[in-house]
Amino acid sequence: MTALLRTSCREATRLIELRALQPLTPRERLGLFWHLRICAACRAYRKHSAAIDHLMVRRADDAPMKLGQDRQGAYPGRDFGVSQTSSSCTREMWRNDFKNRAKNKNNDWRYKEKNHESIARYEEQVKVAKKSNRAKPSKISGKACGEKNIFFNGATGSGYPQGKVPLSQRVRIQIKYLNRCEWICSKSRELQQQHPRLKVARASTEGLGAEHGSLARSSKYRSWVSPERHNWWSNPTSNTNMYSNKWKKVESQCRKILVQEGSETTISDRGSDWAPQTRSSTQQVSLYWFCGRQDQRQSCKFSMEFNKTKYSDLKDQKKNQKVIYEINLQD
Amino acid sequence: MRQHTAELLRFARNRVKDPAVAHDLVQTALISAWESMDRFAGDSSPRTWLFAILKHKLLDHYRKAYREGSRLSGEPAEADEPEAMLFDTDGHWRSQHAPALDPALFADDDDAERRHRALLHCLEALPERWRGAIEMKYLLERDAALIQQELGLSEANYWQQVHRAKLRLRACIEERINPAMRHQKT
Repeated sequence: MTALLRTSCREATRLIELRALQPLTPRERLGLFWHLRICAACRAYRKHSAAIDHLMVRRADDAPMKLGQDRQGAYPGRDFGVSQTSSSCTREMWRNDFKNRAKNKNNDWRYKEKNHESIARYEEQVKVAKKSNRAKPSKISGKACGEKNIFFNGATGSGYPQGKVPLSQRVRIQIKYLNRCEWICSKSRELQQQHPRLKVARASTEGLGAEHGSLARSSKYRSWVSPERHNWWSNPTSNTNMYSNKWKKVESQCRKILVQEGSETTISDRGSDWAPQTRSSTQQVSLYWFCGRQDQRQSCKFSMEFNKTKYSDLKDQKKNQKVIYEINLQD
Repeated sequence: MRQHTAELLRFARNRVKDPAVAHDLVQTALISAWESMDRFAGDSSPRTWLFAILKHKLLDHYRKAYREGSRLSGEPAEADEPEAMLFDTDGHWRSQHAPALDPALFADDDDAERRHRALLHCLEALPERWRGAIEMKYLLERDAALIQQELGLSEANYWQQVHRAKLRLRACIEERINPAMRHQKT
């Protein structure tokens, strides 16, 4: 017993560092336990050490790593944000979207507001280009479509011993329109299959199948996708919808999600399905959009509200951090 | 590739003391990427791939710095070791260096930017070989066996390096964030 109490501060600090990476022997563990009971300085050191670990892995300049392997978080200095991506709309995407919606015109209240002019203008440009032997325009002018990646950094695992993660985070993304967009779809299915952990709550309703049926039908997500109300929502390139659970058989590029004003989704690094609790991770969701409706203003804007909540702080709403991004889709 | 160069540079610059070395590392990483372009499977984004290459270059650098540091300077002088400065002969904290549980220090508040700056400053002040040991700990996701394999260190020696680096880092950050505290102690 006296030998255990004889653990010095020097030894205790060494053990504090050591135990974050490898298990201590029973003797070391007991020695450290008793020492920490009686030594306030070493208790403070333990806290400081964890805080330094946290700082080290969340340095603001860090780079993204492969999803699922990253415990450091892609953007340690930032909790969430929108990464810069370029517009990836192609003529085919645009035209297919137009055609597919035309098939469902009876159900699509937006059909009347299609931008025929934009398509016609593009065709005209192609003709002119052919005649004058110029390069074919790659994009339809006047449209607003593109993609952006949303990321958020999970904080778990950063500086905390595995299995003892005190905090987790969840990020609620609420999309608020300044100007109506046609639709937005989430990460392409192909990418979701490549990165099984790359799932968001909304994606889980369509990607995880029957076991998440109740989740998909919960009122929380009903506002996000509601096939009853918007039956054109089913992806015309596939023969399934979110409730059929046949998604594995379908190779679809991108599922349309009708985004309503005020609809929201939650990305979380807590829970066994899309991220083990003991790892921090960078969740990334791509949003692709088309703004089919041409208003007076030709650009289409939406704002996204990121609302980070630590699970430990759920009761204290004052601690929530809120960031609002406004995105001009024609950028 | 061009669009990621600035990020790669920033990443390297915050992990290596000498800016010229950081530039060299990014340069060699880009050259390696260029040479192995055909082996890039496209499973990850090009950015992730570039950073993975850079991380390997950084590991090479730390390994080299550690070995050269050992060869040129030998073991650091006893007086230079933080243990001798921070602990007395019985291994207990010297009163002026004992950590105190100051709630303002390392608290989870909005002052993260200041702590981040302090961290970068204190990392710069670390001897290169200690920094290598501690940076590798995080770069290799704290896989102790992998780090020891990379650095060619014995287990005890590696932990000694990390322990020393951490002790000095903690004292430095405390000093920088809350200098008044140190004066109170003395």
